[in-house]
Amino acid sequence: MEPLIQCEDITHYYGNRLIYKNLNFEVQKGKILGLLGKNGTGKTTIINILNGYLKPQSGICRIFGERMDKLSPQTKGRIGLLLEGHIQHSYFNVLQIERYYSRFFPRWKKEAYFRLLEKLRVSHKQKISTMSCGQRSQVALGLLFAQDPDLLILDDFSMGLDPGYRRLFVEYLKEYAASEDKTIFLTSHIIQDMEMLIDDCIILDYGKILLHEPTDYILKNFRRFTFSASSDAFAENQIVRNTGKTGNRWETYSFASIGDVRAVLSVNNEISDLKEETLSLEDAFIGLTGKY
Amino acid sequence: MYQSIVYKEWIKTQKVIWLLLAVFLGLGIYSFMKIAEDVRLTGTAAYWEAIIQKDISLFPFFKYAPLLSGFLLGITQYLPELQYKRLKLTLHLPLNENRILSLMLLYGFSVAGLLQFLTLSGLLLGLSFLFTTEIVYVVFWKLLPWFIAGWAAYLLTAWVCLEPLWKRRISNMIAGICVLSFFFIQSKSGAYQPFIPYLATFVLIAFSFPFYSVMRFKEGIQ
Amino acid sequence: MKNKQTIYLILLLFFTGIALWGIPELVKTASVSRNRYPFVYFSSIEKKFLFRELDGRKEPFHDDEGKIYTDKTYDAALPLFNFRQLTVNGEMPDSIDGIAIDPRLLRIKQVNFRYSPVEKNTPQTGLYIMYESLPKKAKLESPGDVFRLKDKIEFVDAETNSVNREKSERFQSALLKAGYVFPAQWTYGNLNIRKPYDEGYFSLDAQGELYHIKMVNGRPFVKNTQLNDSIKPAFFSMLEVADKRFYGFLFDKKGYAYILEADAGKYNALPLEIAPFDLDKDEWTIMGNFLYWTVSIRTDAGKHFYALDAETLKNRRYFYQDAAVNRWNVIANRLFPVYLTVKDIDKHSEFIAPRLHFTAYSALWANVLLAFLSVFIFPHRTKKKKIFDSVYSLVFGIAGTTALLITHNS
Repeated sequence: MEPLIQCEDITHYYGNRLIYKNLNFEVQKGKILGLLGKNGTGKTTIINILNGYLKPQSGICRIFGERMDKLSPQTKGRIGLLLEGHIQHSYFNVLQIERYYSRFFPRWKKEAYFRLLEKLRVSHKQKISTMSCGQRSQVALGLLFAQDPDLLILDDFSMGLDPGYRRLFVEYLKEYAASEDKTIFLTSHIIQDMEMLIDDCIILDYGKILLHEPTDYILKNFRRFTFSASSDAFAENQIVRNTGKTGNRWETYSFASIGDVRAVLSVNNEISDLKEETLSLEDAFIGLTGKY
Repeated sequence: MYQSIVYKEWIKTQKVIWLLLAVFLGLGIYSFMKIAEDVRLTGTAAYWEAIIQKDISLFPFFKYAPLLSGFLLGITQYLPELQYKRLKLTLHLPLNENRILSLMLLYGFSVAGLLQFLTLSGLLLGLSFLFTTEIVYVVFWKLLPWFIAGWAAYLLTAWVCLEPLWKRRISNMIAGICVLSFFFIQSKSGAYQPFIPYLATFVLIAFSFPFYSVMRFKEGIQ
Repeated sequence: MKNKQTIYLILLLFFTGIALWGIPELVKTASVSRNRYPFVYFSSIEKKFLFRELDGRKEPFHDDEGKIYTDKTYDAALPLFNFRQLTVNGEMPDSIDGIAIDPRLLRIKQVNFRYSPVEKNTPQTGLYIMYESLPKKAKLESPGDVFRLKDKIEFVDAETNSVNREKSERFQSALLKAGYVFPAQWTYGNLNIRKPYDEGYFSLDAQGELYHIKMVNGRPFVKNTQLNDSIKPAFFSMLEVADKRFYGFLFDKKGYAYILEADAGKYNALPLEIAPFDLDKDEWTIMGNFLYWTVSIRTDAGKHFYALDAETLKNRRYFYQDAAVNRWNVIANRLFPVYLTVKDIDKHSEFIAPRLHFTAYSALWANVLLAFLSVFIFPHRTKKKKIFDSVYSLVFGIAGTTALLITHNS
């Protein structure tokens, strides 16, 4: 089955700073893929590249099989885009913006938009520029649902939202994706919301992809291990990551079993009191990318 | 689908359009009142002679008004696209990108054009009741470059606004100001006759400039 | 991609055009040095051209043979120019060349005339004013109407903005009766109520015949000047001289100049004995007294001076002076082989139009240098682009390189 999104060997620099080199990933139909990473790792950059707003140094992306800089109007109609900050034509009011977008999409579902807006309790004449961040995000979501696209691309949808709105967003998205077999590709640096939403997870670090696994797999297999030791340093290796001392206790992270971890750590070192903990997605993210 | 684009541009610009209509109407009425007063003061024949001999300007208020109207229209249309890079939303619409931009430009161009045409026609029509044909022509040739400047200002404003890089925006602005200065060279009425075809050609060519800015925007030039 | 390249080229040419105009304009403004051309007048005493240099030098007075004059000797050598001052000082000679000096004669024989190509190359309204040539009161009065003269003559009353049929028909039949063939080619006169007297207009009809048209006692006066067939009038400039000897200066298509004398109801085109000149480029000044007319003609290359006998207009002395070299020319000849102007800098024409000026071949070296340097200015370009940059700089010089720099996509 051909993937909906395909990125091949994307390399990009900002001036002399490397953003990524030979980035490769795919998004399959019906999946919710989250691109997670710290600020500055290039999440928005990949969104820009995907939609043809940025020309990478090298490499190409394809959406529905078409090159990202030559997307046909029909393909664009199948993509629902949410830009960072919920950017919209804020000189429109609630009614005007629906009227504006409805004519571009033959499958436009008016009710979907207004249903979402009812909850907001805003007048139809209210200008979007006078709305709060949360209200604007609802409008944006409503427009996306009304458009009924096959693929949603959301760039940091949780930015600037209160926890309430964030939760609302996540719930709506989950329900929407499940009911209509939609595909969602989103980016975020707020991990806690992602756990219940995304099927697959790409963790981006500076310059490269750290990890690309289903969320389930990470939650089931990635553990934190705490222990005591007299040594000052532990070498980084493939098995254990981000080994560091917090107070008296050492901690490290790994996909491996406790036995393998003990074995690796014990090389040239005395360790004791090794304990393992399961992690939330956010903890796992920190474990993989480090605290700094 | 294309109606929606026009709808969006209308929502953005409607206030400014009404404002410009009111201002132009007001300026027109005031100009004719001034002419009537001057004619009363100096005498009709002397006024005609002053036009023929001294090339006095009958509508000095309309020297920069079209230019400003083109500029205002451009700003109201394209500044919102430039803020927060909203242009991305416009380019994401399921329509051919060039057609979207063409429509946006044509909208502003037509609005500006209609405004200039109505104003110029109104002024000249009003004049024809008071003055003979040659004098109406004299005024027409004096006003024409100023009105064409309105169109040029609109396209140049769009070009500058849509350009993503600040440095380039400045060089575009400087070049735009230079070329606009060509429309306002101090001269006798009618002196612009040989130049009008060049000015008109420039306006047509300037239609392509905003497309280049958008191409640069799509490359993500920072 | 193809679209992008096309628009890029258009923008590049646009910026080049602006630079082709703007950079020389800036340099010229910065390098403008006031050209103080000397004041030249023919001395009826010395029979030479006397110069008064205005560039602030210590000994500004000299003649065309280089002899230096003092203040006093200079003033004494130009009695007909300084007659007012000398008369007051009582230093005016009684006669020159055997002709007695009559103060009244001095005054009425003064001729001061200036011609600039702008006078000819200027937009015409197509409307004229017919003053009464023999006014009841001594001064001219506004007639209250204007007239057009093209396919026919028509008077339009200002107050009512309507055609005065009766007056128009009167003049129309007078024109036809005199043999005037429509449409008129041109009509020149003096549209200024402050002139000392009015002699109407001189108009060239469709067949190249020059007619004198004026209004006398409210009635039309039209007469064919019946000039020699060899004279093909190109331009006429009216001048109200005090002694009413002639109507003005007539220039023909070959560049010869005449005065159009009034001669007992007939018209005589008396030629000025000077070389033909270019009506569209050369500037004229005539300072005439009752003995000599000093004629200065300024061309691009330099200035020609003629001393004409006031009666016969035959040439008595000629002098030529090369044009002064100014700083702008020096710079332009080194940097700008070509530059663009929109307003006519030399004041040859009132019309606004783009004009390309060529300076000197020596300036092409600047282009060659830039073509070579452009390879280094834009280091990261592909070979194909480097060749393009070089050739473009070679063709358009500084303007081209500037445009390339501005539109450069890093």
